[in-house]
Amino acid sequence: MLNHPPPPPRLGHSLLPALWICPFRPFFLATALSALVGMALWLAVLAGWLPAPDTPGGPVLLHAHEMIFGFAAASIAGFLLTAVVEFTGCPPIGRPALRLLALIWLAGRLGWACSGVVGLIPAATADLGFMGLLLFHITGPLWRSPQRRHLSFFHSLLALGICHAGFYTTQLRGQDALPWLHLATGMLMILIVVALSRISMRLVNDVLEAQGGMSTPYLARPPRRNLAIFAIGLFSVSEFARTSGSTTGWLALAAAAAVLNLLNDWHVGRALFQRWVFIAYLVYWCMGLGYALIGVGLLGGQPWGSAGRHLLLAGALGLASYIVMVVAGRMHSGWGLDPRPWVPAAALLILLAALARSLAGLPAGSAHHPRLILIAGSLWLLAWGLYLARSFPVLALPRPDGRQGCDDAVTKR
Amino acid sequence: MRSGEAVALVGPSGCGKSTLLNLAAGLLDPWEGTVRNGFVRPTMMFQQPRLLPWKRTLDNIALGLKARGESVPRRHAAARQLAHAMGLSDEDLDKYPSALSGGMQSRAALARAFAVEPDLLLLDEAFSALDIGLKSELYGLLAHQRRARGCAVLMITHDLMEALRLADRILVMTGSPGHIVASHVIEEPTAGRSEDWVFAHTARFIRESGIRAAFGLPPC
Amino acid sequence: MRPAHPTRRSFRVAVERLGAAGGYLWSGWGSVASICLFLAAWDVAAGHLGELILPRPQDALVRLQGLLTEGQAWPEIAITARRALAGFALSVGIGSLLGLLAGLSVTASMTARPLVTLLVGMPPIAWLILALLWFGAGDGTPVFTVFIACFPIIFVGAMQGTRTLDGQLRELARMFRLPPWMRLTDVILPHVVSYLFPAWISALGMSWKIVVMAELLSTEDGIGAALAVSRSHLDTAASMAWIVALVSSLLAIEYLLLEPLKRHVESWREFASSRS
Repeated sequence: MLNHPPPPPRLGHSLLPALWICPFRPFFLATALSALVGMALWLAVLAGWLPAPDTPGGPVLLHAHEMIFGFAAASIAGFLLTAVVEFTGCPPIGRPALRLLALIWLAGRLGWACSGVVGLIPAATADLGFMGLLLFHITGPLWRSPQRRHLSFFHSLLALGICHAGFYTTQLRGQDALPWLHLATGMLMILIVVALSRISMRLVNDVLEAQGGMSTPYLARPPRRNLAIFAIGLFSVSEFARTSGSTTGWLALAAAAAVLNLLNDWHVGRALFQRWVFIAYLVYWCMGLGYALIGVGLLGGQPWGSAGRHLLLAGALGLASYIVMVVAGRMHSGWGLDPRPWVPAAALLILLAALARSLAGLPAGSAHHPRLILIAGSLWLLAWGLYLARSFPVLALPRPDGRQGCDDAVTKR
Repeated sequence: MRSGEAVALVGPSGCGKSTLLNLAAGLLDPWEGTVRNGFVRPTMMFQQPRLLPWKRTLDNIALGLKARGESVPRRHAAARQLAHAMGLSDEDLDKYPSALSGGMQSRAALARAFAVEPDLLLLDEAFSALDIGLKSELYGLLAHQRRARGCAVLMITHDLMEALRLADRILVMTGSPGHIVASHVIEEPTAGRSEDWVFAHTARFIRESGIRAAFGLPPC
Repeated sequence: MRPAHPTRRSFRVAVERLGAAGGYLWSGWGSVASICLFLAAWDVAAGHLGELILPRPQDALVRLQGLLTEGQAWPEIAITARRALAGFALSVGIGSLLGLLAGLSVTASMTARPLVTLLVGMPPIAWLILALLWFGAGDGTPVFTVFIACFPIIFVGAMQGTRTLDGQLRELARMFRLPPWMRLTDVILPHVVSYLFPAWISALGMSWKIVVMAELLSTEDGIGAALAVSRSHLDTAASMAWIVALVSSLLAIEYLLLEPLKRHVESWREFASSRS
């Protein structure tokens, strides 16, 4: 080791000495914190321990918005800023830009916290500025890379940004902005399909290679993926445009079938039951079942939308964020994949949380609705608490190999 | 031809080598004259492996045994044993021929031919499509099986080196009308022929005037 | 390498088969997705045209469920299936046999070609008229129409199968002294079947369509007749229900019976194509 002169002391430096060396670090930390704080406050409101916030649009809108554009947006920023660097080989964004981005994200959260007093304009400015800046940072590398193979990330993020802008415009006009959040849910699902196909291809083939001598390598085939993206997109647009319930219902069933069809690529034998692969596999199951619930509900005239949507968001989105954070976080900080049992345990907690929340919205669980929601929320808190406790060193402390930046771990596992 | 003897038939294209072989195999009936064939169980290995694409390799090797009415376990055991001797693994035997490489297909075809325990093996340029490494390996397998079973071999080939490597007697044939113009007995036992020996004798063989005339080469 | 223990071997094969079957069924989700997309398009069209012209898919499905649970539908389906399968079986038997024989002789296949063209070119409705004159209203008319419409397809398949049989493999069969029965089962049939099967499948689809048309015009019972009745009552929901029943039974037969059978019989082809 070279003897560096000791860096000048700075506020928070001793607690978070290496927070800014790679873009995923601050954002994955923000994701876990927002999962915990957001859910804890929401549960406290539901249980009556806290008064309902007087934010514009009411508490449900606040909960939905914060889960999508607080929690999910932070994990997406962390993932994209790190992954695009890996996919394209472009240099990562500088530390000042990263600090600015994280600060704007935080400003958006604070803006919502104070929106009952100061209105929505500050939050809208911060949130849309965050989306714009994030788009700006990933567009260049994606556009310059040969054949522009990863441009679908740009498209889905742009779609998400448009949803966000639409959400604020509608809300500021005093109209119901929830349909924009439903549309954003669809865009998130598309982003998951796009991202997971890239990650899983590497993950599954690594496992297959480690098991040795598998004859059929895993391939995420574009035709199936495109069908799933098409069906999800069509459903989301149809739902947004308020076409007849039955049309939207059939489209939801089409999306469910197209997502389950994706699993054809995943049935590769024993490798599927390896934890990294299986957690990603469960993401699609949650997504498929979520859309199936929405579709059957719409066709049968049952109010199952919330149950299905929570499978999509808490289940598919929760698990997808989690697996990305656990894998990419460890790999790009020099720790290598984590063999400890907390990894599948926390994934199981997230899955159970999604199932419990979904059950609360179905006839079978309606009798225990408040209790199920409380259970779901607690499981969710437990899972992300576990993640934060185990991953804090990965996110905030220096790399074990002493290097800077986001280099892949040299030795895996 | 004597039993156990290996005879190579060389000659230019179109001189009737294949016709002769097909007559010997009983695939063609003579227009005039008769074929005197004292061998009871002739079998043939063709230029292409000609494995049945819809049968697994094991069943392909056992084809002749099945035709003879052997029971499934017996013919499979015999085919498996022979295939192992030919360097085919159990996995290969489970595959369809299209999933095998060219060399493996040729091994299977050779195993299929030996499975019926022939007293005369007819080779119709059976090795001409293989690379030299595979050729030499299959020559070894052929020689080994021949010694073990004492079956006669009648082979036609364009490759003089192949003839000198494998045959006890070389017959040279010319075309229109096809007849045998020269016979060349090799005293050296097949096992004792080294590569140098084969090279040297091929060079000497090709200088003989009868051979040159048969292939239409100018005299040297 | 020693061969694996026979029971463990067969266990492994069984697991592989099960896995393959599961994989096949699972790949059906893609078809389910596109069918759902189609139903959504149907639903949009129904919304624009109105219930009277085009009922919504779920109404047709509910109606079909009603017909099935009330027990009205099963006898009609059975009657139609009986006629279609009888005609199909006749053409499979006669068409395959004659095609095989025609393929064995160059003269016969030369003579058969123009006749086959004639049979293929003849519209089924013309056969139906003739059949009505010959057989009257009864089972004979639909069965004959199905038979005569399917016959040329199967005949051509069988004939081409035999014509294209590799001469080299015939030589092989003679060289290894295959008895005539083995020559048929081990050499000729596997090859011919790869031509016959697609022909059978398209003929089956054809038979299902033709039988309904024939019933619509000639009989008092069966799905075709039920369609005629629902049309005369302007009951579009029932008409659609019958059509859905017809199409889904065809899909079920093709994807759950014929396609797996075809894959099993031609598994060697699968291996061949997966390598190239």
